[in-house]
Amino acid sequence: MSADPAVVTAIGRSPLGRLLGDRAAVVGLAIIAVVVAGSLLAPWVAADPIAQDVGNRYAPRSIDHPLGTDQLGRDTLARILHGGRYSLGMSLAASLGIAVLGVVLGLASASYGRATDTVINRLADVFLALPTLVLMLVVVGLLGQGLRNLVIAVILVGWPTYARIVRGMALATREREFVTAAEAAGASRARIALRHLAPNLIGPVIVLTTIDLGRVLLAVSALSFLGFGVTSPTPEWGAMLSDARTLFTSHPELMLPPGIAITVMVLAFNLAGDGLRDVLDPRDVEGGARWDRPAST
Amino acid sequence: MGRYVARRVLVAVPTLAGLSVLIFVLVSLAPGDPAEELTRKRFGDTEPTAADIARTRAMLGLDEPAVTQYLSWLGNALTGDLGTGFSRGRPVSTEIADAFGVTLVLAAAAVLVVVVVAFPLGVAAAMLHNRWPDHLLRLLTLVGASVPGFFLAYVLIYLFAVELGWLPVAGRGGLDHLVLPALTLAVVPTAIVSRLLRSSLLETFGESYVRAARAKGLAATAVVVRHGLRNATIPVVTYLGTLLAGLLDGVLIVEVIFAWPGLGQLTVQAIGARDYPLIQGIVLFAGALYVGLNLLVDLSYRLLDPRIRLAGTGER
Repeated sequence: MSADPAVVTAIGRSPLGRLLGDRAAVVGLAIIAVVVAGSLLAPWVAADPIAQDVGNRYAPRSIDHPLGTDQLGRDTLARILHGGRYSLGMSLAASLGIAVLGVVLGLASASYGRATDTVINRLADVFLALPTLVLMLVVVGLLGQGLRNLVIAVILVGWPTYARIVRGMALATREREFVTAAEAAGASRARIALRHLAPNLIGPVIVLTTIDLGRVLLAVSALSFLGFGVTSPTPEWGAMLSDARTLFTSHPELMLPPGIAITVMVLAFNLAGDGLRDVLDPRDVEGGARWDRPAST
Repeated sequence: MGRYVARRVLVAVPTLAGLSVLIFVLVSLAPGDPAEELTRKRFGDTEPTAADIARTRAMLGLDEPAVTQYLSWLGNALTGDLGTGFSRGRPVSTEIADAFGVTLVLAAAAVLVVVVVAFPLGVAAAMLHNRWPDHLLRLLTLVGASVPGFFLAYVLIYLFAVELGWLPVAGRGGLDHLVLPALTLAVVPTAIVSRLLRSSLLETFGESYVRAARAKGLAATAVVVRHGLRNATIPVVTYLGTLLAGLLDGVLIVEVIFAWPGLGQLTVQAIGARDYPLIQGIVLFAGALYVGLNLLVDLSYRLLDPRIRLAGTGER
């Protein structure tokens, strides 16, 4: 069997080089960069997202209002860009919270003996006993509407999967020789977890978090859409969609900007996440088998 | 097998109990006083006195310590009595049973869409690898993974109800009322099932038994259906648990948008009204349903694939 040239080049290039060679991932990263930059700079580059101009309601696209205006004459582009600060900010906060809580509990589960492991596992079972959105809705509904509670709900529901994965990886790493050596040298459990296990988890957890960003944004937007996020004048994509809903029969076009914003960002996160996974896990290359032409093995 | 089922059921009991404790903890953390809110709602414009509120509180059992409240709720729940909803005063179990029946119709329609679309699409995409059915599937997967259901629903309503006028916008009625909500609900699972089928079919095409069937001159379609599809269905069965979760999550959004009076809408209403007994009942019911159906999925998986059954707990 001769070496496949594609495999040779794939191994020869750096991970970053390979990520930049993946056209879909580059498109995803570019979209993320543009939207994140636009949202971060919104207070300086965009119009006031709350200022009403009742004489100029439902304005079509123009130079002054590139995406038109809404039912209160507010600039739609400004609301989308400012809305990104909330939608993307909440998603990022939730993703970080999930990763941190998942890593801490997963590491504790793998490092601190059977009792800790059992308690954390049973707790994870409880949070996995309901479909995610149902549980998120119940949690945020009971804690009360608001940005902070919405993020808490997403974190509370999201951590168990991460804890399970981290626990598995940590248990596998514990079998490696450098950990056995550290144990033999008398290192404490906390030291082993933090100095020897945690560094090996950072890469996979970053990939996991990136892949999940799209799903987190969908969850955050869904909860906002159902009315559990920001309060009325504050722009946020899910909430904007929910506002537009009441005017759907007369002005369906109001749904497009926030709907497309969410779709494009989720798509960009998915493309970037898939690219990152392919780069960091090159085994996962799709085979070229066909029903009449099986893959050579 | 029997022992396996018993063990899984026993593990589910503390999990569901934990879920109900979680809800009680959240309720006690929740801001606001349900007794006061309810009394105000009953009184309308007249201002209720502290005594009125206290009376409501005692009537709802909210004056008891939290642990007592929980234990009495649990005791009743074990006998099948989930209490009475605050907001409409109907028994929680009746509310859930009625709504669940309505949701089942919608879910069944969605599953029908998934089966009718996903199998032909998955097979076509695998047989015509990298040709148009494969590209169509790639597009569907992209849409399914990226377009939020609450946006897609309105795109569909706009196209088929507003512009073309073929279907009703929302509400419950004849079969035509089912089409749009079922489609919205079905997009994501259809994409996932057909992709799973496609990739596992492509995998079976590499197996020696498929090559042998081809070599002996069996027609391509017959090979795919008789040899490929049978083996390719197993990974799809493992996905059924996720499909179910997706449906339960999906009905929350879809039922609200399409004014479909099922479990999803009931959940959102119960949370909006802070109807604690109803929320607690729905959570317990949904949890039991989810855990129970996942168990069924695992069992059917073991039945379908003898390798797993034999490699299992050493029974037989």
